[in-house]
Amino acid sequence: MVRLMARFLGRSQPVSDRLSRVLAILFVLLVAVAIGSACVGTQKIRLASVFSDPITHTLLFRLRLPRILMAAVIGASLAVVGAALQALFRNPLADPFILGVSGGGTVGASLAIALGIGRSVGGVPFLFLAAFLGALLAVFLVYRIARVGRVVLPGALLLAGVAVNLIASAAVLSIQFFVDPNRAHQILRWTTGSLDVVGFTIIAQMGVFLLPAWIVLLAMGGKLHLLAVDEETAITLGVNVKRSELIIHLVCSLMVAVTVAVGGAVGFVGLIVPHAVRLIFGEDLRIVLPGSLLLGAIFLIGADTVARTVLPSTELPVGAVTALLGGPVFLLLLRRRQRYAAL
Amino acid sequence: MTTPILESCHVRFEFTPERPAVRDLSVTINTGTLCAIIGPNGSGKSTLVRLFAGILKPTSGDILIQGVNLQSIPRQKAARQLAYVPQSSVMVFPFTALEVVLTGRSPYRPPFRFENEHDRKVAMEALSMVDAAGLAERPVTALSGGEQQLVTVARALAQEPRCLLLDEPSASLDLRHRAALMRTLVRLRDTLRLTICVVTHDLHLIDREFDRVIALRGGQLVADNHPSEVLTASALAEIYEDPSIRTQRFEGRTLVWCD
Repeated sequence: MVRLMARFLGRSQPVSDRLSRVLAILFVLLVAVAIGSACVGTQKIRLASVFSDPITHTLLFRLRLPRILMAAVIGASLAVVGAALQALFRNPLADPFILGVSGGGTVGASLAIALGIGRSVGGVPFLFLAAFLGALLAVFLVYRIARVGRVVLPGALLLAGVAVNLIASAAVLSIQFFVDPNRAHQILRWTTGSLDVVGFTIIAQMGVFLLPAWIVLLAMGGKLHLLAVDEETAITLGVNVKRSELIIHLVCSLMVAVTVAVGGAVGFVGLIVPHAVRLIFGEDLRIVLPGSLLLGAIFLIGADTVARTVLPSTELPVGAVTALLGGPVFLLLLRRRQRYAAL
Repeated sequence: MTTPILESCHVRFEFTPERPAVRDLSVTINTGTLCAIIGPNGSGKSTLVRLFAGILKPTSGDILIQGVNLQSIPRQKAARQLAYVPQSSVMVFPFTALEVVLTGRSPYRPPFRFENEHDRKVAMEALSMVDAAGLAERPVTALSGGEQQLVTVARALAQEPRCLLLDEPSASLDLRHRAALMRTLVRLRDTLRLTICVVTHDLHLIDREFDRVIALRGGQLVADNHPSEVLTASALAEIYEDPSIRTQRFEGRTLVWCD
């Protein structure tokens, strides 16, 4: 099996051939997982009765499909951001929340919940707006600290992001302490991520930001590939490193801010998925980026399906499932890889 | 025929205004020369090759390549003329050696295109030129420091440059591989008529095959001549500001040591 895969996707094959095969495999998998996820739940759906039974129709189109699409969009975004940031920082431990975005977003959302502001502005719930503003504020803060003149120092950027996240989580804990238990529980659900959604409106609004961001990031694949190999060499090969870094930072921050605003801080996706893609399909960023996009969607649809079906009466926070599912899989892949290296 | 390929004209570069790394430096390097850049630590050797490579921009003065200001040439185009081998590159991700070498083909690729068969052929040839064809499928993170160095040299060769700039390429190589690398450089000059500038501390490896030695001290030129003129006790004593440097000719080579 492994040998067959190696021949089919072998790294000695030209990149263009491998890319189309990787995309084909992952796309088929994505469709399969999405259909599977649509059918299971507290209420089983039989696809045959979708158009004859109005309840099934509503369940599918108002609740299940929007939720699957939301999981796909958020999973894809977090994973592709993770892949880009790992390459940009040349650090396999980089993750979408490293820039302090999740912390800021969580503080914004917690404040909105604590103050009980339930209104919506222009069709967007205030909670999402608060989270988005919090996330952007955190990004701005982190950049101001890490910037010296016109240069952003990557080390300072990472440290500032970590510090902002820590301060934010302390702030969220304090807020939870002051509000009543009901709201505290709501905040907790949000900090671990939740994909509750009704209808497609909010997803369309996310898409306005996320689709262009995906395109920009995928278009940067060639440059990110050179940067991931060696930064100094990338300069001599014609990459405008400062401009590329700026674009990638901005696009990634925006994407994470949007996903955090809507889905909460769904951890682990952006760390694990790019690693899995690299372990299975190789290191070339022009494959890793689109591969992460698709596998991220697959992974989060799967995790969310588990989150809403594993307990009969309630659902788990999807962030807990991504960590519990993703962590061991990640360790297994890592172990197998080490064994290969030892041979 | 001696046509200049690389020139620096009154180049100054400073990280901080008080201590310029390179001061009023004017050198001209002719096509097809194998040139060593020597000097004590902090003398500006690496800064000079990085200026030539276009990684650093001169604070004042100009870097010319074939008579054209390097700043006025699009980077991708310059990358088809000039290739740079950094002192050390830290490999984080397990790219295969071939993948790393193939990045050297990117200046020839239109945007959003992948490498074609020709690129792969050039990359494999580049690996063969440094006797590293066997490493092609190995992950670079699993290679020794010396093998990684060979891969980065091959990457530079895959750029099919006219001019090769190396910053202490032999630092992580053992005795045998150092000598082999120097032989490779000589061969590249002779067969491809490459212009090669090597920053090095291995004075004993600068043998009769080198055409020229440029010596820097405190960011300024102190010697620029044939190796036989520079590799003498008196000249080296001045370059390194150390009167205890001794040299001896031995079987056509110059041995250098410090008492």
